[in-house]
Amino acid sequence: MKINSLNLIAFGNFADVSIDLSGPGLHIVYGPNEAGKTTARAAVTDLLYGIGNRTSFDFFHPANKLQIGGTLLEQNGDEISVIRHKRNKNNLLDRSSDTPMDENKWRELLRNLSREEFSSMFTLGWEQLLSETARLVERGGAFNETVFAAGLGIQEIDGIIKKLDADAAKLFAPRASARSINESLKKYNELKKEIATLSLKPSYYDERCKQLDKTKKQEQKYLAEKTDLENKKLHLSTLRAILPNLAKRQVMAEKRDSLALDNILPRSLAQKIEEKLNEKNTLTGNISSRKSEIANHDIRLAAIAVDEDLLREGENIDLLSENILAYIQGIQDRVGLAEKLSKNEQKAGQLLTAILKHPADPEEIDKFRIILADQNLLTQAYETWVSAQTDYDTANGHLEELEFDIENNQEVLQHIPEYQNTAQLSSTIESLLPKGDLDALLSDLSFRLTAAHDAMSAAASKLGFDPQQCDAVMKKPSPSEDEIQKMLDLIREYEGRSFALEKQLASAEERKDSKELQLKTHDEMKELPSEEELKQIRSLREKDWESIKASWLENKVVTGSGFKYSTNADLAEGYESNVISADATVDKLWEAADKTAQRNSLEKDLANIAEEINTITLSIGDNQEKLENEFRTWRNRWPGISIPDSHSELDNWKNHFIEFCKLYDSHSQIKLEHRSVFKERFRSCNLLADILQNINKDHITSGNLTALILEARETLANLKADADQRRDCQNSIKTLQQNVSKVKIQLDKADEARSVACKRFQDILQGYIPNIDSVEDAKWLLSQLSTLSNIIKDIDSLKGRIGGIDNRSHQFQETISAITEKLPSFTQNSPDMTARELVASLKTAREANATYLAILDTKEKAEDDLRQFTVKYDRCESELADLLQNSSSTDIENLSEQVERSLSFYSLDDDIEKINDDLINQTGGRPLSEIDKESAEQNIDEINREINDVDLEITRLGEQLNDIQEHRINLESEINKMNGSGDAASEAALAETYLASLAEESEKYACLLLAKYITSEAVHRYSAKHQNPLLLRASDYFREITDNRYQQISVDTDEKGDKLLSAITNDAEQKNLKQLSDGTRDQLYFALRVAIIAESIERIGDMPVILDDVLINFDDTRSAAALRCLNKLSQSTQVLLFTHHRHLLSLAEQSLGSGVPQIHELNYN
Amino acid sequence: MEKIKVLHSADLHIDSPLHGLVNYDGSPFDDVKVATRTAFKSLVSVAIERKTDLVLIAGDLYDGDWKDYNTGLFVISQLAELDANNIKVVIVQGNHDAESQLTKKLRFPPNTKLLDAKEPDSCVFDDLGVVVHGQSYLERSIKADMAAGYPKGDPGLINIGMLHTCFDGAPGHAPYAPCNLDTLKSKRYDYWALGHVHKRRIIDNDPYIVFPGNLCGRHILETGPKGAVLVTFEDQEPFLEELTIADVQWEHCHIDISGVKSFDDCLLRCEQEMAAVCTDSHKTYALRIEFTGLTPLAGMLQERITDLTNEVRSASLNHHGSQIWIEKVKVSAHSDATSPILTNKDLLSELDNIAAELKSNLGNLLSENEELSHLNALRNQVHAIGKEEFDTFFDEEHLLQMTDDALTMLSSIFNAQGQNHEN
Repeated sequence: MKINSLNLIAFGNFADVSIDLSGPGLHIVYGPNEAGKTTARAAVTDLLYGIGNRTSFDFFHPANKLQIGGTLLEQNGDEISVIRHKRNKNNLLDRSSDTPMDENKWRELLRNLSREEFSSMFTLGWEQLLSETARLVERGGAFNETVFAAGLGIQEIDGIIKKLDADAAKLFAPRASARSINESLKKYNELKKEIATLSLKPSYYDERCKQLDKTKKQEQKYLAEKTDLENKKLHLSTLRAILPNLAKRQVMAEKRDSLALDNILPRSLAQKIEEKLNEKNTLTGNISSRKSEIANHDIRLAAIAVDEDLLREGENIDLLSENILAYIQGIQDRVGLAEKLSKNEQKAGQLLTAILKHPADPEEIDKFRIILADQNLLTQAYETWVSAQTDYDTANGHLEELEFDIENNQEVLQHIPEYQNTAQLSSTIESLLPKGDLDALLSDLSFRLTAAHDAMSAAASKLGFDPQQCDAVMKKPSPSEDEIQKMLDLIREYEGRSFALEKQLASAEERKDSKELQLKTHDEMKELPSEEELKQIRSLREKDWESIKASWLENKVVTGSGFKYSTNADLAEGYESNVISADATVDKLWEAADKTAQRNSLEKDLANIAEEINTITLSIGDNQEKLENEFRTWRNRWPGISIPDSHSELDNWKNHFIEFCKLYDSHSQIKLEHRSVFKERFRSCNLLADILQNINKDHITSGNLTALILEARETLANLKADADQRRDCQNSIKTLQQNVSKVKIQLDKADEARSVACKRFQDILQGYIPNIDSVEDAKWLLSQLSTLSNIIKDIDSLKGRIGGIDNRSHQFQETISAITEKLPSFTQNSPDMTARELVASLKTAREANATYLAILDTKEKAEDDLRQFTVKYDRCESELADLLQNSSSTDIENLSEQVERSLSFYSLDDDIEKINDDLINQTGGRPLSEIDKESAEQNIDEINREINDVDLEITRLGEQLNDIQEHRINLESEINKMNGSGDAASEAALAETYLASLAEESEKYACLLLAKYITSEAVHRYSAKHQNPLLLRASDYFREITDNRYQQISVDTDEKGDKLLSAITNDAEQKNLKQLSDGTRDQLYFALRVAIIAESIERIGDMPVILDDVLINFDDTRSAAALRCLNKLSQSTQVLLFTHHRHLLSLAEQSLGSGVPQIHELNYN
Repeated sequence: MEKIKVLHSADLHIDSPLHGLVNYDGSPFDDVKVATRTAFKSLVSVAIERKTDLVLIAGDLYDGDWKDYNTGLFVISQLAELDANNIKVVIVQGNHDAESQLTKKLRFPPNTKLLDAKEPDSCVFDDLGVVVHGQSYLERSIKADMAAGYPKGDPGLINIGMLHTCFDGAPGHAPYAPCNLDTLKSKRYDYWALGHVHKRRIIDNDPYIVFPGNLCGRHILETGPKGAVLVTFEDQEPFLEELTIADVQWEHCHIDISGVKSFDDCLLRCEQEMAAVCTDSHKTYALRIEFTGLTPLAGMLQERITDLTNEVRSASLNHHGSQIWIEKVKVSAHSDATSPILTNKDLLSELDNIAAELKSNLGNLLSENEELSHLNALRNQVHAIGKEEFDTFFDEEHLLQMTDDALTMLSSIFNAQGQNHEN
């Protein structure tokens, strides 16, 4: 596949730039810096494989407008013209049909190569060349599959192999531990052990169960034995415990029995006598104590003296006691009150003097008491007066405000201008509003006008006009469309004729060729029989015929040179064969004759055809000449128009010209519209500006109608606002004036009310006080009167209090006198001292009296008790006497002793009974007889020994029992734990997940390992197979590039088995890569890459090769040699070398011959 | 006459683990780790709830090589619960039970009758009017027709036959105790309670000859709801009710991604399918997700299978929490596009050649080639585990299969690389 042309329709900075790549040989695309070399280079790949989503070539044209066109030449000679767009779908269009390109066909055209493969195999830039050479050197020139594969589009393989290897290595290594398969294996094995630990063996369980049964039985046996021993111990212990009680009981019984030897009273009698004896003793003590108490009381009573006279005056003295302090205080207060009274009387005099404006005498105070009695009335009158005055002041103030407002409004009114033409402005704006879009229209028209002008200029350029002179051209006479069409028809007629003649010519030439070919065939038959010979042959045949006929007829044998037939059958056969032979000879002769005739005819025909060709050729020339004349004549009719010289271009010219005319018309039309709109807008602008000027606004000079309308609207709004304000002002003045009259009436009424109130106030004062003219005077007077009133009240109050004190002092003194008269022992001192003395004496008398009464009360109570005890004692004596009679005693003393003995007897009896109960309890209810019997033979030491023995036995058994119980509990616990737990099963489930993981990852591992093996082995073998032809080819290139300084590139295997590249010089010296200069290494790698490209082309077919300044590090000689190599390569595939080095162009011309390299210069500008 | 309810179960394989599930964060491992045990508990609960008279366990109560006696104790505890509810149990041992050590020492509670292994045995329940005939496996492998020796049915009772059999040779099951329809019918029983075949199957309905399937699915070949069959005899006439017992359900989801444009859309389809399958919120689902269909994404999905698996797991966790355990994600979808990265036919043919050589000379290569010898090492370590299912791991057939898989994988990688470049 070859790219015949690359059209940078809109790509990078390019617009409508075409590069013709159809020529043979090496194409060098030269572009200095910034000229778009990189863009053009990228465009080639993007044309083939699409413009990338994140292209960087959309800096001028918008991304969605990017377009690259191209014409591609297929190997079979077909041409495909396409346009590549930047979009997701249908981005490659077939130009001929404007339909999406068939994807399969396109892929086939690209040899099924992906963009990556294409870039890898058929493109090489100088940076890549340097980096890959450096990589090669870094690896010591190792010529491995990767280097080899780089040029074959399989460089991905290396990455794939590495990834497969890395992925596999993550999964498993035979002796590793941290890989996932190894970990799964380890985990599984650990869990297996864990499961074994958690699992319960059936035999073990069975054995444990049996063990438990056995242990339980043993435990039961021990328990029974232990119980027996404990019972025995209990029995012995009981026995030991009752022995002391038995002994105690024995002693008691003996004592009781000895008491029984004397007379024993019955229990109840003994108890009753004891009770009475005790009572008698108690009563005797009580009587004695009461008597002594009464005697003590009598002594104390005799010692106390009480003042009865003083106690009788008690109430009066209490009254004095209460008033002593008040009396002293009253004497003291009276002095202060008298002073205060004097001061107040003085103050009242002064005040009155101030009110009356003359010295006041005491009588006047009393007059004022009358006025002050009506003080409330005066206050009301004063308030009425104040209210009337306030109303008056308010009305007056209101009136003043109204008058002020009227004045203000009138002033404002003077400042608001009164305009007459608001309505006119408003209607003008309204009328202009629909035309408000004049600006937009004008702008749109301007845009269209510019566009039309641009299009017209472009069309004019195509026609060869000066775009500035379009008007002038259109004014000149020019052919109409019909006229051009007529001329075109004429041209087509001539061309048709010419075509027919050419067809005739071709036909004649074809015939001529055909005839000549036929004639050539004839020429090969050089010897033909003459007419004479033909005649002879015919006569011989006739003769033979006759002879045979005769022989047959005579049945003769012909011998000699003639015929010999032995039988009729032979004869007939001979005859027949002779006839056939003769006929064949004749036919041949006739045939030869025919051919001769044919040759003659052919020669004649050829002559005719030659003449015919001559005639046709003349006619064609003639026809062409006539056409030229016709066209020239026609063209000359319009000398001002640059009609093309060649009639073949007329068709194209016509299209452009018609287009131009249409564009011109359209342009003119838009221009007219534009002008009209402009005029309209201008008129409107002026109109508004005039109005705005008339209303004393700043004159608006803006040409922008919309702005003007906005301004006018604003002005109009202002005007309307002013008018509203004027109207409001006028209305206000009217309203205010109406209010003034109303307020005046109010003022009059208030004035009248004020006079009435003033008079009323004066009347109440009865004219006694002069000069009360104003509310303030009245207020002052009221305050003075109020003060005076308070002073008078104070004077009255002080006088009252002094009178009261005097009264109470007098009463106090009289009371004292009355008491002392009755109690002459008290001497007269000051009243208060006397009173205090009386009070103290009374208190002492009262206390002595209280003590006396209390003792008397206690004594009476003791006397009562004594009486009662004496009665009880007598009764007790009597009862004892009765009891004595029932006993055997003779007197009380004996009786007491008898009672004591009897009671001791009964007490012992009770104790013995209690011990018996205890014994029964201690032995668990055994009969006393049994207890007595058993205990009779027992010895405590024996019992103690036995108990010790039993204890030892119990301890031993207890230990055994503990052991067996512990064993049993352990077994039970162990068996309880064997409760059907699912722990082992859970662990098995977990182990199973590791097995699942193991299986899955092992398969993955195997797959990765096998895939890696297959891939690396395949690449290895492929490279080995292709290595030698590649090296031979690369050596040729290397030799040429190095101008025969190096003969060969060779590959040697080192001791590790690595294949290393080296170069052999022309004198057979072998140099490894490190021994070569940088330039030579680049050239070696370059040679390898060119060889790989050549190999690829042979393998998959030709594809454009794109090289970008790859010769940058080559000197001129080697560059020239490399160019020759590339030129050679370009014979088998298209080679495009992009460069920004101009000298490379001349170098190419020199080394390849002038005109051999196809040179294209790029320039954005 | 009262209704007699018989709950027929088989192949409980109690405490055998679920196979093929790789654990990952968020997987419902704890919910299903003792799934077979849980299923047995549920069976007992159902028997009590439905007031069943008799529970039949038609073989393979245990898994053959499981040695933990706790399993037996657990079974005893459950049978005891049935006993407490006055429910009778009849058990025949299957091939796995015969192999198991657990059966030998176990003492069943009084309600449970284990039928004899030496000869056909019958157990009569007078109160129910039922007689159960059957015979346990004496040894693991029984090739004879055990049913042939069973006694004829007693016409006065409901006759139930219990048999652990492959019947006429169910695929995927060991060919033990084969029998045929005629033999079974000839016994004139009212119901045949079979076991051994893990898929539920009703062989005939006159009389009913039924495989209830196993109680709980344990791997991806045992899909769908699993449980037991409740047979109600009313006037000796049996009525069947299929009960789902297991809390775990295995499903194989085939997701057609033909016409799907992106990786995300594949996941969306998968989410929709999961939502459609996992409708019972009380169950845990073990799912195999297999993408099928013709799509240009096939190569990319194959290459990104690990990402895809993680995304599917993540989606299942997001939408269903730990209700779903993703067993495996497979890409069986294919693409009709040729590999664009490798147009080099020579190299392609080399790939095929190497694969062919590898297949024909696997044994030698595995021992001679240093890298491939790692496979040998792995094989040895895996065999050392001693699990039966790994016996054939990396045998020749498996390795040949994996060689093909490796080629498919390479094709996917090349395809994906090509697509990356084209995009």
